[in-house]
Amino acid sequence: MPMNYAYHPGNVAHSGSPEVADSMVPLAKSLGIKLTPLEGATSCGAGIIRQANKKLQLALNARIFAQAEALGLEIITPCASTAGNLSEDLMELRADPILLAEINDVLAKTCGMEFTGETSVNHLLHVIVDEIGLDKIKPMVVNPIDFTVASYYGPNMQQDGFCGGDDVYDPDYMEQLMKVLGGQPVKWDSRMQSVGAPSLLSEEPTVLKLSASVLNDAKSEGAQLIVSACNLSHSVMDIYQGKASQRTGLRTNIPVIHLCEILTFALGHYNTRFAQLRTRVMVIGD
Amino acid sequence: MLSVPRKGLNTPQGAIGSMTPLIASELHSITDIHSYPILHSSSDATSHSEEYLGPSILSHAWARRNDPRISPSKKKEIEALLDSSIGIKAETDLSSIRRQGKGTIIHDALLNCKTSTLARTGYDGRHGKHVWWYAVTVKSSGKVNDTVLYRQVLGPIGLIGNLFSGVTARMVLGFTRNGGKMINDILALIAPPAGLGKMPRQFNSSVKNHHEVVAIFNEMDGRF
Repeated sequence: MPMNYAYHPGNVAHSGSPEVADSMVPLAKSLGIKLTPLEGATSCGAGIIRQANKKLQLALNARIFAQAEALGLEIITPCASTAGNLSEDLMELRADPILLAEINDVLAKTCGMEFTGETSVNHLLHVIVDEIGLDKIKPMVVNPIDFTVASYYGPNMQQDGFCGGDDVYDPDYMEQLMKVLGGQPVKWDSRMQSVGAPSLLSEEPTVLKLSASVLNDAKSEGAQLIVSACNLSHSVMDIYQGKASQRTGLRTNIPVIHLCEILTFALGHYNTRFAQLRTRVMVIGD
Repeated sequence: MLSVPRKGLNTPQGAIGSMTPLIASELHSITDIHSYPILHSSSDATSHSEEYLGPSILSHAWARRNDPRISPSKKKEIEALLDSSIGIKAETDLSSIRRQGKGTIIHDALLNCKTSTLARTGYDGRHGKHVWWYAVTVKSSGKVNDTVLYRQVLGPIGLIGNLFSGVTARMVLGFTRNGGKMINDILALIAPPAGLGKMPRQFNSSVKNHHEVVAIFNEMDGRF
């Protein structure tokens, strides 16, 4: 029987990172995960709306939680930022009954909904390792990923209570997964460092330096490819890597793809895209 | 030092300023830090920004700003520091602080500090515009519209800059990302590079029951 989750694709899967939305659907099918779309779900706020009004973001995310509860499902997302932001708000609401009552008043008034705190938020990576099991993934691999891979977690989901059974400060779920897919994982210091995605447009000089240091660290450790668990960071590291190199003088040229993509390729989907990736790995970098 | 009349107590040690226990415990929790150098290094932005003051100085300044015993002129002075380009706006990602030990308390304090700065400065500058337009686009469809964000925050000069620095080309081509449609919507034919490759969409379809999202915005914050 397939596992059933309420699906939140993350903030930019509908626009700037369509490859994540593209690959999640066949991937879930292969993994035996039924994705029930959260059709009315809004952006998780990306840590930005709460800068203007924390309770506004809490109310918007409580609506997402209430929708998942109405379906009787837990939430799954392929985006580390979304997993982190939703988990943060979920924990805050669960821990403060007065705040929960206040937000529920707003939900009742505006949407006729109630949130009790029963749902939970899961990143795809933690569902794969904790729920499905890596031993079940291994026989599914059709196209082994024979690259040296640097796995990027980012800071959002590497928090106490947000990252399943993985270690908050020294995670290795993605490294284990890459090994199962046939890749050679590298251990590198910057895998949880922020690339400043929430401030990309407002603090660009700092964000470019942050991105350059992450990309350069992966290259220095001998990686041929970065696999990111976050839709936002994945786009920033791809789109801005040229500009980051111009600004800092560091070597930053390395392919960056999302966890969903690499899994999809390894499990035999989108073979032409996998061929494109192979070419990119050969021509981009040193 | 200029003293101003404010609430206080007469004690055997002399007159001292006072405050409610709630405020006192909040300020104490913000400043109860074992190592300010470690707190400073918990922000990923500090080592990559030449001017950013960092979470240690800013959390301390925020606690001081909220201390009811300080004079109005000192409060204004601290607010000017917090609102400046080396203040809280220079913190690029608070989650890197939140994930460290007692970071939740400092994260919450710095988030409140950012909210206060944004409101005080009228959502001015790139940072203010980014937050403002993010909220506005989510209200308008339920999803963020990156195109509107780029246009409103960077302005025409920033967009032209992206054209020449290779950012736009990488968006169109999905430089290291693979596959996908080359033409996303009709805008690609009439106003490229809009709608081409992996450029963010120009228009978002609304989420189901979008009126609920608008109602939440109107209930919680009428400014957007």
